[in-house]
Formats: sequence, structure tokens, C-alpha cells
Amino acid sequence: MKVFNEANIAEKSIPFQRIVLFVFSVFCLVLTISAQTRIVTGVVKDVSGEAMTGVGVVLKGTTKGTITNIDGQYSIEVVSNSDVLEFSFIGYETIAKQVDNQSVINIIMHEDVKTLEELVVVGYGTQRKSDLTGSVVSVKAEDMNATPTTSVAEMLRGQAAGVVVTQTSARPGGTSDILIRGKRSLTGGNAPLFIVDGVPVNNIDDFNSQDILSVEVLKDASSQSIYGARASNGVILVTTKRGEENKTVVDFSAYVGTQRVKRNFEFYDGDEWVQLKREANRSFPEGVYLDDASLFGNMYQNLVDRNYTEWESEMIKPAIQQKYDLSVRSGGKNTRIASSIGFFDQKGMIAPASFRRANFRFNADHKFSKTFSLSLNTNYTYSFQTNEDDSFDKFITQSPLLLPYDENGVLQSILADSKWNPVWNNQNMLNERKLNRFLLNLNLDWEIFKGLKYKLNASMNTRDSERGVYLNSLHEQGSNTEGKASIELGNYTDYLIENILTYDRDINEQHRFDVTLVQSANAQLSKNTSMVGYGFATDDLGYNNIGAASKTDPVVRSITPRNLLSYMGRLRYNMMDRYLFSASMRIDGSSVFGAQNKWGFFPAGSFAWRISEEEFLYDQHWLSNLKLRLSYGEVGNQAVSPYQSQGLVDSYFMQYGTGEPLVGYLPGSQLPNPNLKWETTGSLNSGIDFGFLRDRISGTLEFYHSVTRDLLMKQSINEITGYTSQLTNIGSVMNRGIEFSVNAIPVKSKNFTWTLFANFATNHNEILALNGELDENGKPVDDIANKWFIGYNVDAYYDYQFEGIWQLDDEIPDFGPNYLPQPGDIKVKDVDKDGLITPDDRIIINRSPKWTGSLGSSVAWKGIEFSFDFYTVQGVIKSNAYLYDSNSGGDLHGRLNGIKVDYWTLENPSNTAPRPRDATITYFSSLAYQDASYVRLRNISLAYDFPSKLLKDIHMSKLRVYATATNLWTHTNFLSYSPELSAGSYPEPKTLLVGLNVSF
Amino acid sequence: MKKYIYTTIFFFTLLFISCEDFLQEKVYTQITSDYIVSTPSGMASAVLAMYNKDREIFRNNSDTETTLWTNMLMGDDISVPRAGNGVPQFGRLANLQGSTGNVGRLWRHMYAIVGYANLVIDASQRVDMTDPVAIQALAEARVFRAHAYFWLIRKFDRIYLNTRVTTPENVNDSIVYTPADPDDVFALINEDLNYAIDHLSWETSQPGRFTQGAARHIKAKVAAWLKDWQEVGNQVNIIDQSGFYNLVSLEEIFGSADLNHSEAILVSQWSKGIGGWYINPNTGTTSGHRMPLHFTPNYHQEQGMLMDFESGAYPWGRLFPNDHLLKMYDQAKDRRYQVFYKHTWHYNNPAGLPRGKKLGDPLVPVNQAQYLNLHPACTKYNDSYTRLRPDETQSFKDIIIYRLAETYLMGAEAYYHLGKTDSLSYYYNKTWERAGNAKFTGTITWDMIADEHARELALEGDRWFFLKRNGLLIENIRKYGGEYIEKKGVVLMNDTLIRENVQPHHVRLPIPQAQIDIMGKENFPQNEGYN
Repeated sequence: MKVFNEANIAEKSIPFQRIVLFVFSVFCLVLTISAQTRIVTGVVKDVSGEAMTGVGVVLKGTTKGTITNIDGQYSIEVVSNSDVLEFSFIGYETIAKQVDNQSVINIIMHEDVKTLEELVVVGYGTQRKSDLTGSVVSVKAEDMNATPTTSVAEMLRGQAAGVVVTQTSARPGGTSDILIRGKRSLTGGNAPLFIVDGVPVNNIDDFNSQDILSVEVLKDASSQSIYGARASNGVILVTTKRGEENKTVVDFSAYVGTQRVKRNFEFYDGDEWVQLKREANRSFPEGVYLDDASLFGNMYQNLVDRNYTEWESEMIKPAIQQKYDLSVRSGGKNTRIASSIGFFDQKGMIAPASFRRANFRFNADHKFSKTFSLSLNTNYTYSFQTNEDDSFDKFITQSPLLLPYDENGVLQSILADSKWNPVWNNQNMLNERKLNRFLLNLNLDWEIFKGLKYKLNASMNTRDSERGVYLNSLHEQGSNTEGKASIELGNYTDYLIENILTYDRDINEQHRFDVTLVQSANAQLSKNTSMVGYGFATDDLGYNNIGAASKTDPVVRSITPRNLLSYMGRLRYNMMDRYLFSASMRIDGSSVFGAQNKWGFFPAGSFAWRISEEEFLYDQHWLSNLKLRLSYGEVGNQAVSPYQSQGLVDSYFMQYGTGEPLVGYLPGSQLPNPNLKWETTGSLNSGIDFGFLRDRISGTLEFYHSVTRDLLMKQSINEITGYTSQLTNIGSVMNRGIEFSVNAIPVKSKNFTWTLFANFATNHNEILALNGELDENGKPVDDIANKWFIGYNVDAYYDYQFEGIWQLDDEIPDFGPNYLPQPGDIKVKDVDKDGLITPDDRIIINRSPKWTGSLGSSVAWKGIEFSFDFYTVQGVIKSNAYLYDSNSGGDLHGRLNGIKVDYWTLENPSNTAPRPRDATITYFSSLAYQDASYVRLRNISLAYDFPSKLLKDIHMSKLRVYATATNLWTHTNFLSYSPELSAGSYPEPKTLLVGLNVSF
Repeated sequence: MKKYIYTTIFFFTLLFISCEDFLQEKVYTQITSDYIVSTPSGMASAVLAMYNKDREIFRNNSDTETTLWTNMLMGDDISVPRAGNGVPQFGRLANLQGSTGNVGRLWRHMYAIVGYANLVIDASQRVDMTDPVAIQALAEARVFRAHAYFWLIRKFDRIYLNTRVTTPENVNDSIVYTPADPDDVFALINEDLNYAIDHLSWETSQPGRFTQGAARHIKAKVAAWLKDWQEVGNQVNIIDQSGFYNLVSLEEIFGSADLNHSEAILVSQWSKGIGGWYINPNTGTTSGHRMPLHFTPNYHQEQGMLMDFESGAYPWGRLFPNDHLLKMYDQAKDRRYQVFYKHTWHYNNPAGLPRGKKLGDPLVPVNQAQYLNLHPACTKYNDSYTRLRPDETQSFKDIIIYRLAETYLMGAEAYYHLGKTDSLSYYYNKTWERAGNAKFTGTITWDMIADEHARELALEGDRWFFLKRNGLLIENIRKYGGEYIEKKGVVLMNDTLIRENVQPHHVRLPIPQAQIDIMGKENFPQNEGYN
């Protein structure tokens, strides 16, 4: 923050000028200076140093005035030193300057942040940013598109405090979860509601991020509650780009990049694995090794020849990813359009995984009379995803002594250990998913009279998917059944009709208010059909040959409807631009709620005080914005799955002897509950928005406290009834946290701009109540099976506490019959100090992050822009199966390969991992809890914008070339391919790409 | 201005026009429970589904290993467990508690069957009961209920007697849950069985269903439990003379995928067809049971051994016959010793033969680990019929629940107590002679009947009940439970923990702790000896 150029100096000089002014005024009282006309001259420039033409210069209180010339110069006649000159220009802050005894007054004008007020999309409308009373964060599209992914969720990572994005799958076309302000539901989902151009959608990743103009995240209940029973997990509003009047823009962008694997752990290499196996079969405590020949059996020759395989490179190879987008936006007086096509293609590092997607969008706005207009949004997406075989992750656990190819280079199906070759399996399967998605959204707008508007919002959204899997007769699983084919067909449709009335009225300068009334009906229907067939004469036709299966499983068909009927009213009142009030109520009726609880009521109220607009602060130029916000609201989570409140029966097949299969019906083990209702979150939010030095430094500090009650929990019921449980609204969870974000522009000049941003968020999550069951002492019972503990985080582990390894000279106490450790065994803590290791010695380990944050900066100099951002998650604990689990090679049995650890031997008294052996090691999982906190250089990018003078001749308005590296550097102690995923998940790539953006 | 007001009112009216129907949840792919309680075909469909649900005894939906069946088989005087879930608690009686998983699961399973049966039985009050479909359904539902309560009372002694249908409306009614008088339980069981015997036919085209023969067999078992020997003898005679059942050859009893032969009285139906598979209700995935794996030792871990059908295919090695059982056979004459068990394994892996051995040589265990891997094994559940490859874990072979041999042995027991020696000799020699022994013409003692019961029915699920009703459970476990084998000074087998662990209270299971918590221990106390 060293460099503060002229602009900052000007700002800093304000207090100094004030002192001078004051001193001078005192002088004025003493001395009477005679009136005398003279000329004052000067130059007016903007902050970047450009001369400003046409700036009005007026002698205050008179009609005398002039404007600056092309070089920004002016000259005006003044009478006395106490005269005040006023400089004004549209879009800039007006400056008043007392003449004093100066004859040259140079002025730097600042853009007026107050008049160039940005509009923010809020639910059912837009609002000036300064008028916001709730907690809304806007994310700009260009910041999102810096990350090369198809997942919009992944693009939001680090962009807004309190929005935590976690990767669920790194495979091409993979997805990420978004969690806003902590987990609220135990059994329902925690995914936010997405609204694209006013239409709720279930999946945002099908949309092309290049079409997005802005994303607004509604974080507090007062801004969410107008979406009622679906808003408990937060609402994300997405606005797509539209055509502009009398302007035509053609954009083309493209990038191509490579993905490479990265990891922070080592496998055992050939020699090390051989040694591990020897140690695992060494006698203890005598320390006698077995004979290699009998120990390694038919792998022995490879040991002698040191003929080893690096399995990772057999499975993972660098891969290409590319994206192309073309869009046209154009408009006349009455009609505007925006249209785009996009194509994305990502090959997987693990063949045959891949993802391809084509997007098409057409947005149009047409004003067909003085008071009526129509707008249309259409989006079509086609995507095609192929997956690798489920057994691909076995490459991690394959012994280096196993050879995938025979001496002639022919791929082997079954390896020397009689297990199947994962590379072979991966080549003998097909797993494809095709998706068609179409969204049609029509709006009719009618301005009934000035201020009163009616909008009809209608949409239709369909999503058809087909997944086909074929494991051919050479595949491990297909070989049992002569091929296995499965097809899953999904069809989702929803319809939305909304009647929206808004009335906007300025009573006078001091009082403005607006009212919004909404009636909405939303019908969603999801259908799924799946079929499985076995026994094929040929593998050639893949799963499409399912009709020729010699045997089939029952076809499974499920249909789940959700209908939602809603009414919403909202009143907003703005008094003197200082006191802002908002109150709303949403009423939702849902088909999934029990017959006796069909309607939910979700009220909210909020207040904001723009302190910086108060008289006593208005003139404080260092303070450009100070706003205090307070809100409370209630929102719901429609977590009830369809049909939970009804008494339905399940079907069961029964075949007597060799007869025909018959079907019968019985109710499930869960007793229906006709009283089921939504989960409700009541949430209090307070925040301060601030801006200093003409918003060169701006930011927000927020506190929230939310309690979710009526959580859906399975309550055990007396089993003599024939039922085991009933779903009931009973649990409760609390979340509270602090969020802070700040943006700064330390330098802003003609050729050089430097920006910085940082955000930080904490969340504390706590279970307040579970299913209400009490133990014999009347204390509420924790749900150990689900690892839910009252007073603790929703996400927890429950296990013994690792304390190191028993050493040869340790005196090992008697812990009772369940735990008889020897040197080299795991030492766990006797937490309750009763001298025994019992299940009571387990401890609760919080899994979710203590805080998350990001920090980024960009520096632009004459068209060259360099930017980077860091993202960090701190205080996360994750269990790493690759450190203890036998299927993941962590068991130190010396059968499988895995993540290399410093294990204990007679010669190497390690304190971090136990003695290898071909037998179960007690309490092994206790050492696998690793700190999965990480700091990551998420994106680093260098771009060059060609100067517009150069581009004019070739009719381009913009040409930008850039290179970006994503996930280039990560620091974490969690041993995996990614700190958010286990080592056996599809590995996360680091991506290096070059791209180009052109506009005409 | 007025115009505006009217317009506004017009739109408001528009806004609030909607229909409540929109919020009615429409069901597309499932039917409501009304169907099964209001029509004869609905009742029949519920009963049909109960046969499917009942198979869960052999195959938990989440855990393929900890099955009720295999856990309930353990803890007697003729078997020894090796390892696996539930083995310490049921197989060695270590730490058997109200919180033990399969204790709760057994309670839940049986009361679920009772609940389903109550639904169907209750429906008979509304349905036209002249319809033979309804009568058949009611009769089968009543056997299901009787059978479930018979399991519960024998295993827990202290149970609640529920004959009411539970609904969301009555689930929260305040009821004081107190243990039922066993007389009331047996009265209900007999009432249910009598109705079934009166209305079920002997024959069915749908093997696996309860028949009159199955109902009578269960009636005889109930009577044996109550020591009503006259009734036992009566039911056994009726079954014997019905002409619908015959003993088959030893090899045939367990020797095919389909076990609905003339000796079988009640058989759990499994096959690879739809309806013959266990279908996981949560995931829809289909799979068979794992019975063959339970009873086959891990022979394949020995050098020179590969998995093959001859050796028993894929093994888990959970439960074996013990030496006490095997000593009961006359190894030379009694063919069951060879037909029901595998005693020796032979090298079958040409690639991994130990030095000096050749294919087909027998393996001789020399230490404890080897002995466990080559332990004599029960082959009653072996399945080389439905599995395509030896390394397949799933089996679709039927499982026999009751067969005529048991009926005959009950007959022998009854006539022993009634003192009718010709009938005793008649029934005793049925299984004895079939096994290849010469007809026994001397005086048949009670001990001989008890041993013949073990020889014939070992590891089929009746031993624990047999010992309990004869008051021998604790005594015999103390004497013969587990196994200790020493040969030439080498201890080959040493697992007799159960002999030390067994306590008088082990004649019954603890009540599931979670259920005591719900019912209140002041009303429904834990069985004595358990805490």
C-alpha cells in the first residue's frame, strides 16, 4: 500500500485545506478586504489525469459561469477572496472551492459514486445498491469466468464471504456444492435455490457462464424470505445478458488448455513396497523375515528382475480442455436481442472420462405499445458425459510388482494376484450420460399507469437425461453375466406462472415507497425409469442392445411431483435516503406438506440507516458511505420428500418355486405423518457497509445468527407397532458467524490501476435439539449412528484419539480384554481415564471449516493485466481412508499399495504409523484424521488488451489475449490429489490455458 | 382515479384465484395402503409381500453378513464359530446385551411381521369373507402372526402382545406397555394356527406358501414347547398319514437349487428370477443370500488351494460343526457323516503346490491357523447349482425351514413321553434308517432321541430351541459348547469361551434396550440377568 499517487494526495489534502480555510476565515473577521475583480484560471482533470472538457464553472450565487475548453482549461472573473467557484459535470461530484487569494485553481474531479449508483437484482425486482437493507452480494461475471470450469458453483468459490463451495467431483462435467452460512438441515438438502431471470431452476451448471451478466447471492433471511419455503439454504439470483439499445456487439472468446495431475503424497515404489510386504509378514517380536520366494509367490520373478509398474501413469494422462463462445447483442428503439452459442469440450485425465456441452441462448425484448412490452428468454443445453470405470481408483492400490501387460505387450485381464486389472476393466465398459435441457421464459409487462406495473412471468423448463452403462463380457462384472446393460431415463419438467404487481411512488423528495405483490404457481414433475439387463450374445451394440437381454431386473419407475402455490407481499419505504425500511410476507402452500399443514408463513422485516447521509457526516469527504443494516426474517426448507405424509405401500416381488413372479404390497417401516411441514429458519442479520475516500476502499462487515427449527428427524417409535420410526418436525440447529469483505483500489491512474480484494467468513454450527429422545437420566440422547451430537457441529467424526505408537521400551498398561497392545501398535487416549479403552473414550471431531477466506489482486498497466487470487479454508479435519482402510491400501497388510507412510519397524521406531502386519490393527482409523486446511493459488493470469487505436482499423473494439493457470499451487497437510476430495476420487487437475477474447 | 382502483381490484381478484386441488399430492407409481385393507386381492397381495419380507431373516438389507438366521443358529452345544459380526455375542455369549444389533433386529423383524399380519387380519372385518381369496389370505396371515409370536416368546420370554393396527392417529395414544402373560400368547398362537389348519389346503401350486402341513408342523412344535405330547403325536400322525410328505434320499435333501421336494414342509424360496431374488428396498439392487459362505472355512488361504466348487467355492468361514456333534455319528455306518459334512480338502492349485505335494493330496492341518482354514464344514447350504463361478458370493439356492425329518423326530419325542414304544420306534427309525444305519430295535432312550435330533437337524436352526424346551441349554453349552481339539500334543482348536461365559440368563435374549427406553423400564423391565 505504498503507492498513493496524486489522487490520494488530493484526498489527503482536504483536511489540510479545511484548516487553512478556517484560519483564513478568522482573518476575514479581523481584516476587511476591499472588493476587487480579478481573473482565476486553472485546469480541470479527472483522476486519471485526463483533461476534462465541458465542465461547468460557476461563481456560486450568481449566473456568471463558463465551461472548460478541450484542454480542460477555464478562466473566470471573481470579485472577492470569499467567492466560491462551483465545478460541475454530469456523473461527477460537484466541487465547491473558495477562491481565497489564489489565481490558479486546478481541480481534479471524481466520479460520483452516488449518482452512478449500480442497480442490484433482488427477488422480484431490482434495487439501488444503496437502498439495500438485507445482505446481498453481487458477483461480477468477469470474475467468475476467470476459472475454467463448467460449474457455475465452482466459479462462485471465494467470490462472496459466507458462501462456501466444496467440490463433489472433479471429473469433466463434475459438480460442486454451495453452502451459504452453514448447514441448516440434517435430512433435507442444503443446496441454495437458483433463480435465473426470475425463474427457479434446480441445476445451474447446465447454463453457460458466458451468458451471465451478474450473480447476486441473497444471504440473510430478510432478502430470502420472499422465496419462502424454498429459501432456507439461501438464494442465488442469476441475470443473463440482454441486448442494448442502438448498439451492436459481437463477442468471440476461446481458450484451450491442458490438465495435469498433481499430488502431495508418494506411493511406495517397487523396492519400498517389497520391503513393506516383508515387514508385514515378519515375525514379532523375533523380527524374522519370511522367505521371499514363498512370500511373493508368482510375483517373485518381478522382484528379482526389479520389474516394477508405475500404476498412476498407466491410468492418468494429461488431457486437453477447450471452450468457444460466440455472442451477438444488438438492439433498436423497440426491439433488442442477445443471442449466443457456446461449445465446451473437456477430455478427462482418466480416459474415457470426458464432457462436452453445447449451449444456445436467445433473449429478446420488444416494446409493442406505449405501455406493453414482451421479453423472451430461451436456453437450450445439450451435454454428453462419459465416465471412467468405477474401479479406476484401484490404480492407487495396485502392487508395483503386478504387470498390466504380458511379455508381448498384451493387456492382461487378471493379474498375478488373481485380481482384475483396473486398466482392463476401464477399457471394457461404457458409461454415458446425455442431457437435453430447454428453458423457455416469457414475460409480459404492462404499465397500467405511472408507477403501477403488472408483469406476467411464465416459464417452462424441461430436462431430459439418459444414462447408459454397459459392462461387456470381458469386464470383471460383466463376465459373470455375459454383459450387463443398464439404462436410466430421467425427465423433469416444471411450469411457473407468476402474476406480479408493483407500485412505485415518490410522494416527494423525502418519502418514496414501493409495493410488490406476487401470486405464483409452480408445478414440478420428475420421472425416472431404469432398467437392467444381462446376458447378451454380442457386446458390439452396448447398452442399446438391452432389448435382447436374456434376463432382466424389474423395471423401476418413479414419479415425484411437487406443487407450490405462493402469495407474497412486500413494502419498501425510503425516508430521506437515510432511513430504509422493508417488510414482506410470503405464504407458501406445498403439495409435499402433510394434509394438516399445507400452508407456511414466512415474514421478514429489515431496516437500514445510511449514516453517511446524515447532515453531520455528509460533508466528511473521507467517508463516502456508511450504512447500518438490521434484519430478521423466517424462511423454510421444503425438505419433506414427496409422499412422506401419505400412507403408501411398496411393491415386492415373490416367486414361489419355479412359478411366475408375482407382486405384492406392504407399507414400509416408517409410519406416515400427516402433520409434516417445512423446516423453518429464523435469522437475524446485522451489517455495516462502509466506503472511504470516494469508495476507493469499501467493504462490508456482517454478523448473523440463525436458528433452524422443526428439522425433520426420524423419531423412533415402539417397534411392537410393526413400525420403527416416524418422520417428525422436531430437531433444531443454530448457525452464527461473521463475514467481512473489503475492496480497495490503491492506485488508479491513466495507465496504471491496482485493485485488491479480500474476504473472510466464519461459521459456527451447533445442534440444539435432535429427535427428543431422552436417556434414563432425562438427558437428550445424541444420535451416534448419524454422528449428531447436541451442542456440536452437524458435521462431526466420532472416534478414538490417536496418541502415537507404543514403543519397545514403553510400559504398556492393562487396558482390559478389548485392547492388548504390543510395541508398534497404535496408542489411543484413555479419555475418561478409567484405565480401560472403551467406546466411551471416543471423541467428537468437528469436520467443518472454522473459517474461509480469499485474497486477490490485479495490476493493470497500459493494457497488460496481471491478476491472481488465493483461496483458503482453515480448520477442516477430514478422515483419510488411504491411511487406514484395507480397501484403500492403507491397512499396512502389505497386500496393496497406497499412500506412503513412515511405518514402525523394530529398526525404525516411528511414532506416526504402526507396525505393518497381515492382521487387523486396532484403532487404525484414529490416525487418519488429517488437517485438510489449505491455501491455494487458485488463479493466476496474465492478459494483454491491444490498444483501441490499433484495433479501430480492423474494426475491432476489443482484442484480449491471456494465459491462466488454475490450481497451480496448494499448501495442505491432507494427503490426496485435492484437499477437498479423497485420493480415490477422480483427481483434480491443475489447468494451464491460453485464451482470446474479441469484440466487434 | 376510479378507473385505476377498478383495475387494481380486478388484478387482485385474478391473483387469488386458485384451486386447492393443486396442493393435493397426486400418486403415480405407488398405491395407497387402503388397497391392501379393503379388498380380498389386496389382502392376498399383502400376504404375498410378507413372504418376500420374511426372507430378510437370511439376508439383511444393509449388511450381507450379520444375518438373523446365522446369528440365531449359534450358541448351542454342537457348533463352533470362527469370526464375524455377532459371533462374540451369539457364538461365545460375550457381552450379549440389549444393545446388541441382532437382538433388536430380531425383535423388529418379528413385530414387523406381526404388524403386517394384523393389517390383513383387521381387514377381514371389512372385506367379504365368503371370497376364498380372502379366506386364504387370512389363514396365511394368521400363520405368519402365530409363527412370529412363537419366535418372540421362545427367544425373549417377555413380550408384548399386539393385535391392533397402528395408524398415525392412534400411534400417540397413551398405552401402558406391560409384558404379556405367556398363556395369552400361546392362546393366540393356537387360535391362529387352528384357523389356518381349518382353512388351508395340504397342497399348493405355489411352493413356499404356508400349507395345512406347515401349519400342523408349527402346531406340533408349539405343543412340544408346551409339553402337550398328545397334541404333538396327533399332529405328527396326521402329517405322516396325509400322504403328501415322504422322506427323500440324503443326497436329495440339500442337493439342488430348488428344494421343494416331498420332504420339505416349509422352504424359503430363492431363485435368480424376479421375485426369487432378495431386492434391497432402498436401492432396488438385487442379490442372493450368502449362506454357503457362512459354513465353508477359508480353505483357499492355504498354499496350493484355489477356490473351486468341489472345495465349497467362496468361503467366509463363520460357523462349523464341533467335535461333540461329529462324535455322535457312527462314522462307518451313518452316511450323514459324509453327506452333511466335508472333512478333508485336497490340493487343487497346480501353480502353488508346496514342495513334495501333488494335486489331489489331502491337506493335513498342523497348527491352529491351518485347522481353522480346514475345519470340518457343514455342506447343507453349499451351492454349486446357482453360481456361475466359484468366486461368486451370492447364492440363490432355496433354504429349508422345516422338513419332515423334524416332524418325525417330534413324533419320536412325543411317543417317548407318552410311553408308546412302537410309535416311538416307528418315528425314530425314519431318519435313523435312512442314514444307512440298521433298524434300531432295542429300547430307545431320551438321550438317543436328543442325539438323533442333532445328527439329523444340525445347523438347520432348531437345536437352540430344542435344548431350551428340554431345559438343557445352559448345561449342554457348559459341557460341549465351542471346541477344544488336541492331537499329538498340538492344540489345533481352542475356542471354549462360551463354556465359561454361559450364564443361566442366557436361556433367553435380552429385550432390546432401545425398546425398553421407549416403553419405560418400570412397565417393561429387562430380562433378569441382563443390565
